Amino acid sequence: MTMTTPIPSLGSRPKRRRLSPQKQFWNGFHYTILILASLSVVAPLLLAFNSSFKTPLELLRGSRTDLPNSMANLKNYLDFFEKQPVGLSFYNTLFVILLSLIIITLVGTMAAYVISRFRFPGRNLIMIAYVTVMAVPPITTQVSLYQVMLTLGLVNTKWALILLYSGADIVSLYIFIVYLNSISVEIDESARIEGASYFQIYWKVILPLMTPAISTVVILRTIYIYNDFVMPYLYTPRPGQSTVSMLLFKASDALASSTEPVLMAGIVIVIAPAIVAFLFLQRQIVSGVTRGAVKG
Amino acid sequence: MLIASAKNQRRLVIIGFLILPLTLLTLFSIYPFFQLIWFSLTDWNGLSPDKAFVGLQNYSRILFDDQELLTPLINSVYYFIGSIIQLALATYFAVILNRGMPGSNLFRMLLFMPFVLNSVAVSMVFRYFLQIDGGLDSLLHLVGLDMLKQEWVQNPAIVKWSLVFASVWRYLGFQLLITYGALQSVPTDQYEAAQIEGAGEWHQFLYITLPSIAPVLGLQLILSTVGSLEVFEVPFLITQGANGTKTFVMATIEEAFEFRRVGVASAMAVILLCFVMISIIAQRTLFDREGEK
Repeated sequence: MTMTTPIPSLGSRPKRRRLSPQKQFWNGFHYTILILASLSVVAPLLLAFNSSFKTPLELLRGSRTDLPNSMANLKNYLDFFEKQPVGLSFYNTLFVILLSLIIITLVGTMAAYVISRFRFPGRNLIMIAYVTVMAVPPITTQVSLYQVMLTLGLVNTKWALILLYSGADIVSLYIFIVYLNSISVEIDESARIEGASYFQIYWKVILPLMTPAISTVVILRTIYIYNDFVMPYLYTPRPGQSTVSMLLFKASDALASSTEPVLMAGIVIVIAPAIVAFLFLQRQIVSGVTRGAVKG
Repeated sequence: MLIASAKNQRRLVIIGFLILPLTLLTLFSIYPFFQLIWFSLTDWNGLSPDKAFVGLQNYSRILFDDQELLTPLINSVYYFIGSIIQLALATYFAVILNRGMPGSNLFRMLLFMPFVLNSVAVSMVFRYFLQIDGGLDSLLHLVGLDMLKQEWVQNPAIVKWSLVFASVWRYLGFQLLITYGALQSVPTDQYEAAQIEGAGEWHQFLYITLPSIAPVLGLQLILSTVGSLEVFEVPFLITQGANGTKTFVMATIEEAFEFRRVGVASAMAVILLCFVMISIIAQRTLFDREGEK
């Protein structure tokens, strides 16, 4: 309909863009800022990586921007593995992540199914309770939450973390509810007519349909739990229950400043899996974060 | 018969599926919340079996008597200013990356990457990056800007901005992604129409982009405000609160877990909660009014 007008202008636009010096200036400006910002993101990390291959003496004498004498100097890495409970901390972290994810997925989708699909007395009250609780920042209730965990005898066990990451996670539940609300009820209804029970509908229809929402929650929670420091610091301070965050926190406490390169090696050990996962799962992580954040 | 059993089944599913989530909600969110308010009215030390009711004594102590407890709240202002700068930068980056310049995907990924990194690891990296003759000073030397060298963490006038920088470094990419996501849903034909009309880039941003992402920016502003009231990890891990970098949450956790003054700490938590609620309500009403226009 209006096809006739844009076509000529479209055809001539690229030429015009290339010629305009003003546009060239602005493009150059934007690129300069972008490159500066990217450099400031990468520089601290690269310098830490660089230091992790140096001997204490090298670090003391030279500048931090000097390359290490030998990139094959893995002594700092071996030292860190030898002196710190690296394996145990990774095991603890993965255990906590896995169980938290299983609990939040099952409990969250079940609650979302009932809240989204059924009208029953008390439903509004439950909704109001969730929305109100979501507005309370978790850090403010730690003082009393700690007493609850103490009473349950869970302080200094991984279960304290697992229950905090799954049970007190209202945002994920909210993501589930919003997602399920966007799926047509007709699908459940036709399954119902075919004689499926409510539980079968949940297990065979709803759960598979919710895969996108589940993957969003899995991505957001994995990033959050792997990186969190506050909860392990408060609830599992003992070495046997250390997560990777506590591993680094303790290593930085115990080691003298002369062994900075060893600590840098530890940092690389903790960060590397996250960067590798990020490179492989970029697209999923980006869409998960965008979707989850906009809804939350 | 069939109807009755269907009804029973319905009831069974509702109760069965809700019992666990509601138990968790009560145990880990609702109960602690009311307990917090109760604790804040007592002199409990967290250990002894009995606690005495002291009324609002803890509150008056924090608000009027003990200056040291409330002053860390001022530090939130630095993080708030930082978060405004961060939001402006994130919006700028999102807008220029949304034009699909060559390499924009790579820049977006690089800027977002800090968000997926472990907070302790990142803080330790910054602790050594900012020390005297650390990474930052070495870099400045490398590019011939020796005169900009500073005591980034030791100088009380600078340290707060150094910490704000570390915080912006970590969360800028996250905001960039969210704004970018919002920009993607702005229909492109609007820009085409504006170009035909001869509108410049600045005018396009002002009259097309900004209005369509305003709700998302408003949401981010709320999150930033709440976030700057709750800062804990960055100063705790980089400076341990030295040189006046202690934040209100740090002071609260110190009261509760180190000095074992659970009563006072609970009152501090309630005060923080009030500030959070006030800022949420204030911004909600502000943005709703704008939406009505």
